[in-house]
Amino acid sequence: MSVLFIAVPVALLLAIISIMAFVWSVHDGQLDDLQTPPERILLDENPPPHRSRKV
Amino acid sequence: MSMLTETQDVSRSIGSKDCALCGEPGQGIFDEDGQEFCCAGCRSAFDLLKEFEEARCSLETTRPSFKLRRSYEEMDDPVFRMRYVKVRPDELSEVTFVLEGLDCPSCLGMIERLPHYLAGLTSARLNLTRGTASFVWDDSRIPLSEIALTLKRLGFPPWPYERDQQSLIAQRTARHEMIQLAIAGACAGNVMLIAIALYAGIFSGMETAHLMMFRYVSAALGIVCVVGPGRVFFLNAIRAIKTRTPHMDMPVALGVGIGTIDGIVRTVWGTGDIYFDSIATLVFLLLTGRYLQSQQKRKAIDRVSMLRVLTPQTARVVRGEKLSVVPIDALRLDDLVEILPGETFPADGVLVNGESDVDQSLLTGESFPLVIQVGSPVIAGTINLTSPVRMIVEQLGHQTRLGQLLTLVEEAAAHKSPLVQLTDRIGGYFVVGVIILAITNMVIWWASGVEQAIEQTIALLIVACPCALGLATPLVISVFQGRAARLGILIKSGDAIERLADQGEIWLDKTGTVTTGEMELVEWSGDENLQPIVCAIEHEVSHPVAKAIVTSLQKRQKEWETSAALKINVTNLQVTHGLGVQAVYGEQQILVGSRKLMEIYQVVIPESFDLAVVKASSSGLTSVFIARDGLVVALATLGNTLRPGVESIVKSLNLSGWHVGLLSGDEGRVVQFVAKQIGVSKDRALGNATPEDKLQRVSQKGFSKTIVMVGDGVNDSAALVAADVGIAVEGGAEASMHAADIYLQRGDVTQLPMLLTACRRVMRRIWLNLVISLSYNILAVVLAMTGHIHPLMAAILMPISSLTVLSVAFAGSMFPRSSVNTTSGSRFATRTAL
Repeated sequence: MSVLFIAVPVALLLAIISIMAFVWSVHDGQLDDLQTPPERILLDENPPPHRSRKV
Repeated sequence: MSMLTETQDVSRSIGSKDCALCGEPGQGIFDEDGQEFCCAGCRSAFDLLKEFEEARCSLETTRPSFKLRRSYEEMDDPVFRMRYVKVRPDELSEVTFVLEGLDCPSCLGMIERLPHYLAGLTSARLNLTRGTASFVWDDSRIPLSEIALTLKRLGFPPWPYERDQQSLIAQRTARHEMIQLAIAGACAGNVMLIAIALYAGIFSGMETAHLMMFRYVSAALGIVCVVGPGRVFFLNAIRAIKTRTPHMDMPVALGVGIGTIDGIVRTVWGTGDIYFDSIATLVFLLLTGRYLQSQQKRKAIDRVSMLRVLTPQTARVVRGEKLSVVPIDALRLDDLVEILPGETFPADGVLVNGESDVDQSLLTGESFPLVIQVGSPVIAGTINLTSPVRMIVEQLGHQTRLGQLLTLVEEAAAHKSPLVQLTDRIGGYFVVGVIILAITNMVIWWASGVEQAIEQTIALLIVACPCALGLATPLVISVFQGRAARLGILIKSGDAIERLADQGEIWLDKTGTVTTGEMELVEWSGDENLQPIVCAIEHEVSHPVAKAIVTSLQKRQKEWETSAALKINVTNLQVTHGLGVQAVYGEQQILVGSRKLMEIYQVVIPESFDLAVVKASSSGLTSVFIARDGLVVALATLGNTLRPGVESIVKSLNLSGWHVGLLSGDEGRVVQFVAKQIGVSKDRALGNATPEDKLQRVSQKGFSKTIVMVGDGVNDSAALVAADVGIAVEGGAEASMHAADIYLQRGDVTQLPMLLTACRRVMRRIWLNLVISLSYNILAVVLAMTGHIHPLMAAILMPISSLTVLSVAFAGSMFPRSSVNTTSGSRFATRTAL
């Protein structure tokens, strides 16, 4: 069971890394607007090809 | 040239062998409809124009309020650029606009795809939360004014956006809260994992070394959670004690604080129960509730900074011979300023050149346009309608009437006392109750030994911590806000819901709220054969009364088409400003206008019409005479029409115990007339109310518990803020929408009774939630007092109570069923076309 002495700190380390990643994403402004991205994903990435060319 | 105006030419050339767009010989490039083009560029351009035109047509039918011409040319001015436009490292320019009329997600598709259609515009990013959009464009390829114009044509009039201090602070707190929430969540999750191991160890036994490690790790995580994100509870509790106001955080701080200290001591000693899993979960769940709550408040702040955009940011000043565009801040007293039709007056002053009509509805609530001539005073924020004029500036900025009104709004907002949250009030009693129980418990168990008494009491303090209580209210309110938004009702604060669940007084503004705000033909008496001719004549006149006559006549008479009316040839059209118009049709001389015009042309007015006019004006209606060859032959009576269903809502509001009143800036007799029509009692119909009067009226509490103001104009804004609940109606000024607690997006006051019913239901649900969460606490306290409590029990009870509260928040409908059926988003369905 002494593997626990390694596993638990590793788990905690992972937790710390994910918190740091989250903090970064917050400061990056990725979570400021939670309303638009879920709608944006429903748009077609590119409109049909003949429209995508710039006028 | 703007792209949209070209479409007419486009449709004309359909069917020819030449390029459908530019008229050059076709090169065998076809689109889906079989149109031929000279190049792929023309084909895409044609496509885009067609789609824009379709979208615009469908929008114009659904959103008729954008009738004013605006060029946005001030946006190309260096002064504007310096203030709002950011030049990026890649030499492209970037600007952020506040967009009016953003109310559905399909707007997103429309706006973010603009770069595919507008050459030179490289990116458009929308922020639905803030109601803003950022545009990046190449200045050498497209002027900003054209982007702005396109946006306006699509139904989203843009305004320059400047972030103010308040919204920056709001953003910073939002980010801070999110990070705290994440830390608390991570701690809670990990402590729970360890707790499972510990609980398993109770039954199957565990090596001491492992046990000690788990206990220390969970103590460490618990301390991080309490000292980090949990700090806020202690700070709030201390503040609450200092100010002697009840607060939810007092019992929380008590339980969490004692639990943590006790847990540390026991971890070090190596014996006894520890509750770190419950404590960390508690902190996490309470922070979640708090985050939801402040998120609701932030929505209100984020959009509030629009108040400033009511006055234009630039003005056209005449200095010497030269006409120059200056920013509004550079405007001085006694400057000579030119205002084109469709523009807003930048300051208060006096007209020195030209004559026109102004739309003062924003300030007075009066929909009838005012005629201005040389010497007339003009007010900042009103809109010049018909022809260019020049004015001398007399008052600027805060000194103007508009500035004073906005100051009034700010003062009213500062004076409004916030409602002490229901949970905070309960929290106050709760803490007293818990302390009494703890002492009782101590006394009871003293006999069985001091140590056990202390242990039991600490357990009691921890399990009595009101976790679900903190979630109960914000959850229900969040869910309600979401569902209301789907019905086009934006609710900005939870306070409003609590206040609407009580009864009291409702004051309705007249123009724009009870009436549609647009004039319509009420009655046509006399010769009906003249209708197409009058329609044709008035079609040439830009006066709002003329427009009202044209639209109403077209609506009334389906058999003669608009085009038919337009084919009627009227000649010799002469407009006498503010009075009416004279024209010749065939051999006949036709006059359309006021009594004064008839007097000028010495027209005979038969007595029957005279009587009709007197009757009409006593009901607050406007009469327009129609004369043929020196004799009045018809009379058109115009007035504001009631919004459909207003009578029935007054009735149902009265039935449910509200006192309904009418509060208007309009003339007393008009207000009385409308009051009679909709069934508001005479003594509750107040006319001639200035914004200050309105403010005073809604601040007088009297016996009523809740005072609700429903309005739409800037003149209502102060009252909307000062009232317990301000409800703004769409179609009015954006300012009122920011001042109000609730915003009816569909402009449908008939939603009011439904909203009130829903608020009562929501309050009932909040109460139910509070009762459920408190019963869990009571159950836990009873277990603790009888000595049956154990960390495992606490760990099970708490999530269960939170889950129950959660399911109550989501279960069942909040709005009366019949109203939900009318929620088809058909009004906006057209936008998905793009």
